[in-house]
Amino acid sequence: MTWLTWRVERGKVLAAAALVLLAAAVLLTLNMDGPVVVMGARIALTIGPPAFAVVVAVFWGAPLVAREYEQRTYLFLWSRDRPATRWLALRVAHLLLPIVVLTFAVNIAARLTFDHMLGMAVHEYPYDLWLPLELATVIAGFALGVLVGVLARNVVLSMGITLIAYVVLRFVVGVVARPYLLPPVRLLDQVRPMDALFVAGGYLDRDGHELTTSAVQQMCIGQHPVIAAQDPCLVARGITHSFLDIQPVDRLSDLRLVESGGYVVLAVALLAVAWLVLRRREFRR
Amino acid sequence: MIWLTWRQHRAELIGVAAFVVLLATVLASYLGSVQEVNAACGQHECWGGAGVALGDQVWRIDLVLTLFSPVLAGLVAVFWGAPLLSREYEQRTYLVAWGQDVSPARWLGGRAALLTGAVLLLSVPLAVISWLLVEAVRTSGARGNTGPYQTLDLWPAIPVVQALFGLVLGVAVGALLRRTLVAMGTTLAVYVVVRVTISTTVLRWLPPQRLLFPVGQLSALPPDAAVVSTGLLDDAGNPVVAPYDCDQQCLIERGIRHSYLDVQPLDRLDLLTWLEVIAYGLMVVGLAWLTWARVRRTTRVG
Repeated sequence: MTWLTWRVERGKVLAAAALVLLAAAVLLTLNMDGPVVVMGARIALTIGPPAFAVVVAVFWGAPLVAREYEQRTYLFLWSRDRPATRWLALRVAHLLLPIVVLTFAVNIAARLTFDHMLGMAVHEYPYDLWLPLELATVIAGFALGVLVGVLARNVVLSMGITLIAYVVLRFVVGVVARPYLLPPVRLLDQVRPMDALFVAGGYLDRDGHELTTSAVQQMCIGQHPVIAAQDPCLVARGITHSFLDIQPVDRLSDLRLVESGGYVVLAVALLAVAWLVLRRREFRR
Repeated sequence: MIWLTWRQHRAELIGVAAFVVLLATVLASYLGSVQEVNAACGQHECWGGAGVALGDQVWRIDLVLTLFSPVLAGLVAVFWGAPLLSREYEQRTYLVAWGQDVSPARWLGGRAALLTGAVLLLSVPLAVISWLLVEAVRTSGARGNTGPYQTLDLWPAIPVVQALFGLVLGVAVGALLRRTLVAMGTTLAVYVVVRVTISTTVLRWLPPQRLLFPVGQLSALPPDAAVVSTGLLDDAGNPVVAPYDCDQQCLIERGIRHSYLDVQPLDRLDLLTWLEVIAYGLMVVGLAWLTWARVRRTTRVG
């Protein structure tokens, strides 16, 4: 980080660092003596790390270029000798350092809070707390904000668009697409294994067509054994197997790797587009 | 004035309004499906009852009900409230906007009235639909988070007054800091701190009732009461930390004979709800006064 970048961005960096430290201190000193506090800690752990990524995208990424346009300071900043593309590359590179350090701090704080909450119990950390994945999501958010700022050229507007786009992106990737990032494993007539990621479940008829559980419930009401062939009602309706599509627990690390790789590629692509747009505008000037 | 306000703020207004419409659609569709299940199970016996028939839907309903109010008020605070004055100051347009024919008080009053109207227009229907949904889920008997104390924050007046608080907080921070980005960030931070503080402490605003049980006995909770805290007591009545690897006998040998349960009984729910409404109301009035005083002072100087 150069002296100039530090002078311009120190407010954001210091404020974010202070907030991360404050949140970590509060969570780690909580006295977990009642359901309200435990529930609060659980909610903070679930939404804390994604909220940090949203803050970086909306408050660091979006205003980076949009602000220069809105306040017309770009007229002084960028010239033939100091092109906008170079300015963007340097500013982004400088800001990546505090982003990485703070994400690291958020990750450690979340893990310690998790230990604090569960005490001595042996546990696995949640899927999203894998450090490379968290880093990739934060950097992709930052890149998204930068691109939106370049395109919208208005601070409040670009912050709003970034907020919506990033929340939609995280939701689609984390909830909708995640189980399908690798082709799932199909189990026939088996109970769901512990810790596996559930993808889909239902029944198969003789021809191998899939039937949903609710459709089967309408035909044969009640609890059914896992092995479909043992249930007379199911057999009478031509249902031969129950099926379960899952991602087994030993594949979760591969899934994380694929997801992190996707976010990294996205981040690079978004920054490249922002750079190209600025370069085109430069040629026009 | 109305036309100008609309032209200047239409992106933020349309954005938040679109979010609210989406949310209202989701809540209304949940309400429809829960009422349908309730009606169907009322007419003929449902397998396992309406609560079981709802199945996987319950946690989604819980999630939407928990998140809609904090997110709406947060968006209003950061995107409507914070930039309102800070933008005028930062871009120095206030010098033009508050000219001789429009006094600053009138300018601020006009903007505030319009935005307050918009907040009410968006938050009141949402609050009503969500409360109807809570009551429908309760009727179904589903085991969601719809106990009386768990839905304290969903009583219709509270989401509305929280959204108003968001707006006023944003405007006040903008008037004090006068820089858009700083005001938006500070508003977000203050808003989160206030919301978290209130929702984690509200059950302690009235001294809870302490129920004592001999160590090892199952504690019977009064129906629909909220648990504030639990723990062990020594003979002198002081709360103690449970030692690791200590069974019931060993606890008694160390003089720890009772466990306690601090609860808020159901009959205090109304009082606590009103206390929360009043707390937010007082903050709204205080922050509005602060903003007004600040804006008047600015123009006298400059």
